[in-house]
Amino acid sequence: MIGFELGWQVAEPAWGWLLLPVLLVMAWRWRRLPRAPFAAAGLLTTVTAANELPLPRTLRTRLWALPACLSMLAMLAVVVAMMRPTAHRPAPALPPGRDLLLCLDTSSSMAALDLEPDRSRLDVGRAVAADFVRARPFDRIGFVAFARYNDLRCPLTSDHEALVVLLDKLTMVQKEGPEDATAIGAAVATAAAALRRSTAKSKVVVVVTDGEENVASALAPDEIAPLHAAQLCAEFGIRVHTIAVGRGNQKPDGRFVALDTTALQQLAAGTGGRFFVATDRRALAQVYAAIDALEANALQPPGVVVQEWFPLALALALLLWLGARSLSASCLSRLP
Amino acid sequence: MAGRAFAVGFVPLKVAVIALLFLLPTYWPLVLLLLPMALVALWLPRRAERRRRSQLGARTHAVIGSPRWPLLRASCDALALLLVLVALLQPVGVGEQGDGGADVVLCVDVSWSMAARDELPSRLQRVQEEMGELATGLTDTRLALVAFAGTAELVVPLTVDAAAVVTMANELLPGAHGTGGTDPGAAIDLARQWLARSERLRVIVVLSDGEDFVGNGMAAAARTKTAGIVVHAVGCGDPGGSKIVVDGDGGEQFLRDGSGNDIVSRLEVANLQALSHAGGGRFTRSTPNSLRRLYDEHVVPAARAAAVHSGRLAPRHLAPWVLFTALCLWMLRWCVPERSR
Repeated sequence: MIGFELGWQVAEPAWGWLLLPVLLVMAWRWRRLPRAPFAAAGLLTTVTAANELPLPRTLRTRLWALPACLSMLAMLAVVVAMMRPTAHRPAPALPPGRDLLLCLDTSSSMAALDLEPDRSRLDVGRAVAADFVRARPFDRIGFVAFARYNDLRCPLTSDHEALVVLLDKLTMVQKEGPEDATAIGAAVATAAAALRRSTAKSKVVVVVTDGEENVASALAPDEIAPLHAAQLCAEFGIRVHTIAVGRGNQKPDGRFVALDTTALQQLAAGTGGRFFVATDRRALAQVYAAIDALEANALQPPGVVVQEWFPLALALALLLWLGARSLSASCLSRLP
Repeated sequence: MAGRAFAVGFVPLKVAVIALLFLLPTYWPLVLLLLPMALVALWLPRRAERRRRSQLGARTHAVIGSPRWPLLRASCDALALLLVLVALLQPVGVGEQGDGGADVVLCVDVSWSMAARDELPSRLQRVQEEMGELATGLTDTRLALVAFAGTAELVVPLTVDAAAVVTMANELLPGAHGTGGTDPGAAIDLARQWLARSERLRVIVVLSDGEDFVGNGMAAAARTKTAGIVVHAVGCGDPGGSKIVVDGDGGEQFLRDGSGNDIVSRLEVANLQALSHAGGGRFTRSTPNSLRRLYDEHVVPAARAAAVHSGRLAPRHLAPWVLFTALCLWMLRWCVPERSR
């Protein structure tokens, strides 16, 4: 490839060496080209020259070499086509996109109605998450649902409409059932495992929870604590943003007791992320907007659109060739 | 000069390690129009030659010489012209790098009949193994998973995380999804809906024993083909049939119908063949790696061709070599004497 990065270029310049043999054949051909529109004209010229009566110069005699010239130009155009002239235009720059996994708490405490009247924390969380997803068309996004156990419900996908459909199917676990707990560390570890397979440069986990880790503890050493999950994420280059939603744990008498968010703060801080608190829907939307700004897409350098122009050179060659053949077979035909 | 997908998609002439295909740019109908013009241009010199010979009469051979030289020149012209027209259609070679990046929706039958054990360990588990074999080594292809029985449901949207798809497919159980019955048509329609926005090569693979209680499968496959999506089918089971083993009170037992008779489920090869035919795809019986083979032989080449057409895959242009041959023929034509000495 020669030429500049943008503008006109020649993709296969090596074919240009063919110009040498082609020009040689042309020169040889030119020397052998008959000098008159019919074979015996040379003889007539000699005779008339002796009698000092020159032959009349007609249009046909003036254009005797035109078909040969057109054929030669056609061959040159073919060689140019073989070199593949291309136009390189800048393509619109696209954001590189990120791989982002949401970890959504589905424990029964997400049924509290403190974020918005008549709507549970989970409903509000789903709606705001859907808006967030729709606003990031270039990202691959998925989500993990977690309570006592966690599930990768939607792997990283660019099909955000499908993701929203799956988000809508998200339900809470049964209150005080065997799954009604909050295992934040394990959920983040599952997200980290899924993101580990990703080749994206930027990998982000957003944890949305209203509770404290109550599965991993000193008495359960096999469980993954948030701090261990943070170490795992840091090792894989994954940033974790954490959002504590709601006003705290709701007691049976309706009072809210403030959450202990230490683990969430440490999880975010240990991975280069940020910790947020959202006590109502508006605040949650603002948190997502802040994360959106934190994870703003830096535009890539513009790409290049390559446009092939060899068909044009080839079309020119074809026209020249057709012209040469037609002329030599009609008004400029040579006898015999 | 932007490329346009050929109606067939590609011409899979496999030569050594490359597949030859034509980009068929938007102007390709013009190339066909040029063909009669070129034939006229070839015919005119022949007509002039014949006229000369008729004018010269008995002295033809003495003056012009043998007719073989004009014939050779005309042949060179004709071949060179044909090659130039071929070059205008932009032949390219697509190497074997990458998988082309297709969007493939796997529609997995999870009706009770998939619990039959004519495939070991069961039809559904055989399908799950096939999906595991497919997922290995995928690079750019995106997979989605639709589970269906009497109704269909999207389990995994299109994703490059094939391992996650396999994990979620392995969680599927016979009879645990949707209503009873088997309606592959619903799965195909749902898959088509989720493939509608895709700009890649779009493929649906139905993995089933072929039962179709609704009878909507062929019509759905035909609709899908019209939308430019190919439907392949992988048949799992034995045409001879097998009873369906389910867990019941007191251990495993055979699934029974309303009359108390054991239900026998068969692989309905004809149904799946008709479905894949209507969808413009292939049918294959489930054997080890059959899904992978179907993917390698029928999806990847088409996906590479589609990737070349869309500009996602850089092809190797073969037009210069075609033109080189045309140029040699033209030079040969010039070297042929106008008349014999």
